[in-house]
Amino acid sequence: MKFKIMADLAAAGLMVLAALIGCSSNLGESAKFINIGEFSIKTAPGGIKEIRDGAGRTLVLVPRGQTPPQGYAAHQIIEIPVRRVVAYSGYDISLLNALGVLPQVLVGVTKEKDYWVIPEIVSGMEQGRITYVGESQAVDFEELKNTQPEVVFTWDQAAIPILAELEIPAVITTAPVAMDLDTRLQFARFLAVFFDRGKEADAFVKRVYQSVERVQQKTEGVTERPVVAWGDIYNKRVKVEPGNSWAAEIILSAGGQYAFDDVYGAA
Amino acid sequence: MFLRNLWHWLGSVHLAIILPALIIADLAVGFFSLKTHGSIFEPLNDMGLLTWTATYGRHNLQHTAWFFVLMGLLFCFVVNTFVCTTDRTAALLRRRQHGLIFRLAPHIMHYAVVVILFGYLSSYLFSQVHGNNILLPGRSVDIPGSSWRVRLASLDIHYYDGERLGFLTGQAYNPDVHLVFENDGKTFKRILSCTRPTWIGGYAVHLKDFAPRLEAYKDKKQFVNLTIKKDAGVVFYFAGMLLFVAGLVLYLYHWGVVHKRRASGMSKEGL
Repeated sequence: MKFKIMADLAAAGLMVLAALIGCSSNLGESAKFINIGEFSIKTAPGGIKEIRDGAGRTLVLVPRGQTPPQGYAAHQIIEIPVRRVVAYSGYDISLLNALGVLPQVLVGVTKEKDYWVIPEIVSGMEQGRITYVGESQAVDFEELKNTQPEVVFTWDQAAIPILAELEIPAVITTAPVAMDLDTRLQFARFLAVFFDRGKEADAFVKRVYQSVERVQQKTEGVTERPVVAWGDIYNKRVKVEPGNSWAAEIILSAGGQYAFDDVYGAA
Repeated sequence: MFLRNLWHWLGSVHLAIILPALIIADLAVGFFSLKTHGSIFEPLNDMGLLTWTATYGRHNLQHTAWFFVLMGLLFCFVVNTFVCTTDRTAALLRRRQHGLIFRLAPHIMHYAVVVILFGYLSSYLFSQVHGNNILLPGRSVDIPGSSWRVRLASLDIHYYDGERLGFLTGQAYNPDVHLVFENDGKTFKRILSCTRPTWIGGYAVHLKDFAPRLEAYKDKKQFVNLTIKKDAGVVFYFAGMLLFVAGLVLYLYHWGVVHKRRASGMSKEGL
């Protein structure tokens, strides 16, 4: 008797849960959703994508020529595929390169020409296609506006209100907690939706995973595992990557032990 | 007959013992899930339970199943508490003994727990959350869906300069966010900090993030990131807490004063 009642309750619970899920999908049955760490992409019928960036902000990607949905401010709407990008982070720029769009879309960076080793950036800056818009902590927003970006990839939350005033959409590409290796690599798939480069992103992720696996196989039998730390040295301060970061995972995969394995936090 | 059996089973003491044990076991699984996949649960704070269930919850079921199980267990726990307490309350009311109100005290506290849990559910189902309102000093934003506007007047960040906790030296530990709210020509000043949200016009304003967090960077750009909520559960939390306190006061009074009197009366009789 008791088991029957428990089974009835469990069935009722499942029905309530199914109803909750069914009622809550405001994009309909054909909506697709993927999340990559803090980042997510929800695809609605018609190819419109609602994304959530690293700070939890919502933006909407609309195929060119299509009417944007209601309820979003101008600085939340991005037409895809994106044609002009300003990017702060070297990693984001490297991913643009991996996706094969860097020479066509990158119009602004926050490091001077001498800093760069990617030939497409150096030549782009020499030819005036890519503009140095100032250091990341002191961006010249007039110069940035002159580059007419359709989106800015940044880690700087303080830039958001100014860019919103200029009606330039911005995407926070870092997360409050350090990305693990999978999130770091899958992030290429998040960036790919801006440029309709899903296949290139899949190929990149597969290629890097294969490399990691090759290294893992080589170091599998290693008996002596050196203790390694990964960080940046500043004036009077050393900042290290936490144990939950991709850097720690790479060290483990390469046959080492991570010195700050017990530390959890931001990159 | 079936309904009566069901009612008795739902209010049984056995269930009251099994459910907390199951909740503890489920929370133990949740602890490890949150530790390794915390980012999946982060959006629950601002997108609400229904949308989260349809997106992050449903698509990461191997990491979120414990959470849905927890909701089911909490639902059963609430039903068990309600049925059990209602049974006892009805019995007490039928008997109409002397000091009835004091005898009801534990049951008042049980009802309070039910009200508080209902408040939590309301928060996650019906709250309006406007996240990521990033403000620079002197700049303002509108609170969506209202005529309120909020401006960051100034940001005073206190950095640790003590000696006891050396590792915290130079790190921000207490930001005082001076906000000015404007509505219909009137202005209201409020101070916000990490553990001290502020309320205005039915909205709760929380500090999500701020910068600079290190004294070494104190000359760099200042900003705050505010989460603005219209929380449907607040009324229930406060009502539940008041009810709980009332029940607790009655219980303690009964336990402390009435029992003492009885004890002293008995000792006098004995003399």
